[in-house]
Amino acid sequence: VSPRELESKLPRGDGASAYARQLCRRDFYAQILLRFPANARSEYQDRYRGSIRWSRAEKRFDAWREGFPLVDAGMPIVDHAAARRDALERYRATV
Amino acid sequence: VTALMWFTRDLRVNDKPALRAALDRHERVVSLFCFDDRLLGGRHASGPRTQFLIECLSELASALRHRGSGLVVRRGRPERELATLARELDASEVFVSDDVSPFARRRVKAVGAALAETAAELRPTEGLFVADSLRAIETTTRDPRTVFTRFHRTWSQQPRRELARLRVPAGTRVEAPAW
Repeated sequence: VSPRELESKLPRGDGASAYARQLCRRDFYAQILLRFPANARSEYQDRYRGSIRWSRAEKRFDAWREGFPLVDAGMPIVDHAAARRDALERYRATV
Repeated sequence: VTALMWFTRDLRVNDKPALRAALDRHERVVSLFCFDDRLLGGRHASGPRTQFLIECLSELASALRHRGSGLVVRRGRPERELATLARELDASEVFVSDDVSPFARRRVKAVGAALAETAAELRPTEGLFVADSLRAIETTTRDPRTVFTRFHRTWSQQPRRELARLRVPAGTRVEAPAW
């Protein structure tokens, strides 16, 4: 099912608006990536760009992966695109 | 005449404008998915993700089969596989959903360059997102909308495409003859 189709089938009401807002977030981050392709590799905000000392400890990174399929599937997104990190973090917090 | 439908993500047949356009303009549409080792392996290799991908592909193949078509699966660099298949089938157009990530953009560029050596033209088509013209959402000074609430306001008023439905319901053998 496409996000456009989901939107087209939404009823009226607050719940539906909140849902549409989440669909919008998906478009928002796509737009950000389109406009700022460097975000895939570096920090978005000027003030942080190049100034964060990221850990490159691969072993710890692997240990952090918990083996939950959705989390594993989300890892490349977090690392590659920095997209929906907030949502993934929220999900991680619930498992 | 023949078109290729190159599936990358959004492995579905309904509301897939690239597929809709291919079917509207061509007698024969051949669908392809290309396994790319750059995505399967390396640092981001993920068993569950690959498993999910394979299950989605299997569902896609069966959706295409129910409509009298099928899915060609290749493994390799998409630029090479698509150019080879385009030549084999004498395809005139290759449809793909237009994507936003740097990787996807490099990939589509490489495919476009490889197809330039064939008779086929690449047709990146909208459809991965709710609003089709994400680039059109900008500030009055033509800068990107970087604040979500402002983006949301403009986005809500953007035009929406009609759902790109397939003309023929599942079970009817008319479009997209088998290959």
